[in-house]
Amino acid sequence: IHKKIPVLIHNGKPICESLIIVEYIDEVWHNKSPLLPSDPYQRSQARFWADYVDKKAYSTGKRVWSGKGEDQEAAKKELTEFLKTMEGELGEKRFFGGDTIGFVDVALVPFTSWFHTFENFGQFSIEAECPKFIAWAKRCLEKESMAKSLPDPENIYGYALGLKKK
Amino acid sequence: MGEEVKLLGAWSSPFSSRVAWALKLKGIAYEFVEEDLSNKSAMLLKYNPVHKKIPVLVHAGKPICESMIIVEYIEETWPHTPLLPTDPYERAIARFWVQFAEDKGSVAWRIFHSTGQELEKAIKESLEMLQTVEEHGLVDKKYFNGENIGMVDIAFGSICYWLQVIEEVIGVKLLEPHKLPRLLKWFQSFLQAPVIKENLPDRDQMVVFFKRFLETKPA
Repeated sequence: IHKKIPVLIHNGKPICESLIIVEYIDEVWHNKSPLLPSDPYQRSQARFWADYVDKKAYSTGKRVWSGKGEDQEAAKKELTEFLKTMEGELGEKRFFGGDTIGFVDVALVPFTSWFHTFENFGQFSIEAECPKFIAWAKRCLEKESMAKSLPDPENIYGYALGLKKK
Repeated sequence: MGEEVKLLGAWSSPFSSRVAWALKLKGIAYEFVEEDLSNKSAMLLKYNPVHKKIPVLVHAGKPICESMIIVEYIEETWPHTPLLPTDPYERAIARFWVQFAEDKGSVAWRIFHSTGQELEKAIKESLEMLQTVEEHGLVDKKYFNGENIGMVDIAFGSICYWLQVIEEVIGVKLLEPHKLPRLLKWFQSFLQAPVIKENLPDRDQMVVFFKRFLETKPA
């Protein structure tokens, strides 16, 4: 239908759309490190915030690195507001999932690989604007499984530079 | 579950109807609060500070937002009359189509808001969306969820019902039997299902409402 990655193939059967795949993984291997809480209300909140990340993060981020002038300034402002909203939701918790990494953390942490690119193109410091957010990101990267599976921010910057030249 | 259930919604909103259908299918008693979208209430803004939109379900004082997330919450809180399959793979497929409805369904509203080339583009994309569902989404059963209505039926049911209103208001025809035979057969079954039949906002009233909305829209 979409001709996009990621696609998970389990026992020969394909599942598409990243967060749907994550929910599938959570259901099938439910005994190990659950990503979604068991309480329906908390699950609805996790889904809400992951959906918000999906809707807001990448499209705003794209305008920061590929935009110019007023549009780029507006995008930078929106990005900062988005990160501050997420800081509000995180509150005093270690992770969005509480004491352990959860659904929203998984949805959001790959976005942080793009921060180096945003900062370079946008000429601003995300850490200066949203220190709590960066502190959360660093905590996630202390987890070997996360750190190892995320792309190197320098590679992303190189990739974006290449795209901009086209 | 004896705690109070409240739905903040709007009679003319497809998203609000999705939640109402889920509640009615499961026989859950709730209070419906009609929101004036041109003058949003303090309660709505308190319960949905991020998007400031309806529908919002308030259960025992706690708000849940985004129509299909609300429907999943309803499904998990009141598991009788299931709206999703039990097998994880089939659930993932159902969620995929719900996501598809969310991502692509709004193209139908672009028909409502566009003219000229934009309108032609919106019509083309809407038809593509419907064709994809016709070819890949439908299964050889009465509903997407098998013998009973489920989440995917609810998601697409709202899209098709409101699309018929848009068709009438704008004067275009997309849901044609020779182009989308299986989809229209499914849609007829959906409209005739007892709970759905009794909970459809009046189509004529909606045509009047949306026509008036277009006329009073600033240019």
